[in-house]
Amino acid sequence: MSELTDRYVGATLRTIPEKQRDDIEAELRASIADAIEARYTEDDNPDDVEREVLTELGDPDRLAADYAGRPSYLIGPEHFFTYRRLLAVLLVTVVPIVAAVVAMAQVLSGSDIGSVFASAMGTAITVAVHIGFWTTVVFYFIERSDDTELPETWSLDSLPPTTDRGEIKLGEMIASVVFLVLAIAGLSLTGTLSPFTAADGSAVPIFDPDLWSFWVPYFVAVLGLEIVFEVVKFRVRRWTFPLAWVNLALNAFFAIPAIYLLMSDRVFNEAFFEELGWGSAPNESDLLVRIIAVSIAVVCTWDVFDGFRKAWRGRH
Amino acid sequence: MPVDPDQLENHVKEIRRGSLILACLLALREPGYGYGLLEKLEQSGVEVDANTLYPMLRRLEKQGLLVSEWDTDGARPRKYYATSDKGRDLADELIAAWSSMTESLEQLEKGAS
Repeated sequence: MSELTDRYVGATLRTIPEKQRDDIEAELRASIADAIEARYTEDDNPDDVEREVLTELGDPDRLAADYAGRPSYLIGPEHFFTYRRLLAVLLVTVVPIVAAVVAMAQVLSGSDIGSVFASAMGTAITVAVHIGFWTTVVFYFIERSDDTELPETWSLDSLPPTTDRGEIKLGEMIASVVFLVLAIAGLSLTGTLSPFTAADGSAVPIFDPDLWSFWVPYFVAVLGLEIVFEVVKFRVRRWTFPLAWVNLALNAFFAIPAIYLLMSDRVFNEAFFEELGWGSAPNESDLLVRIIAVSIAVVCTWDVFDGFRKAWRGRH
Repeated sequence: MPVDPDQLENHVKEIRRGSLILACLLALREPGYGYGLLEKLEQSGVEVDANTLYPMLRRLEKQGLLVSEWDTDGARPRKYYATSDKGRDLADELIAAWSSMTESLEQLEKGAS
């Protein structure tokens, strides 16, 4: 027996349980020797024949796994769907909750909006990676334990109801449009309607008058697009991925400038709050402003996520 | 339509995999050792890779379908396997299942033409 066969047998036996090792070694060596002997003719180089035989036996790790009866996959078909369902449930519940809690804590301790966002994202990624890793580790061992019976996670009762395929109802559409129209009206009217009037008899608006040159028309336009979106969504009848992406864009158009303006103290009118007797307008170091900013972020993020979730569920 | 040779090979492999255990149980009614069995199977037209056959022999032994014995008298020590009584009974059942499947397939083929 040459060195090459020794190395091959050694590589195979490495991961074989101790008590089977001698028996498998003797049998494997005999089989290799038999094969070489049977193939060898006068004209052959013995080394070439040996190489050929060992090459045909293939990857020693694979051979060892076959001998030891170990699965050569991470998670097999028996547990795969349970694994995937559990992973999905953990990711969509734990990750947003932890990220929201971290963001809230950062806001309450007075961090600026950039580091709130950064630490929430960082935590979300870390938590997602941990969930993925540890769930896989647990299933790796379940797969390799002889007879772990997992509780049945699927039955006819767990089928989603057909309406969950995301048909959008007329009532939903009307409610959304009415809400948006009221929001546009409310926003426009804050310029002229106020409980307080200035010395010259004009109204003292709650929002900063500087916003009227650009930002108020901008938000009215975004809300207008939201109305168009609601109508289109109703005509399509269900959530689709293009709709979910448009929804993401609309939410971003709204949330990002809104949060930016709040955190740079450009939303509220000083004069209005002086009349109200607060002394000064709430500014970005006030808890109230921070809570409003976080609420906008959470609601918009949820709305975007919900759109993709419904598009995913309703896919064909 | 010409048959795609790769596709054909995959499907034939699939059928062979199912019949391999039966082929071993039948061939080993006469005791044999690893490489000898490989040659015997190949001569009777059953194609099998060495790295599939050897681990399978040990699995069948563990299931009590084969029994084994080391023979140290020859030029090199060899592990001889033979089909056990339990293995013979299983082979009979498998043959019956195989024939009934062949019949079913023949009937389906006739029905289709």
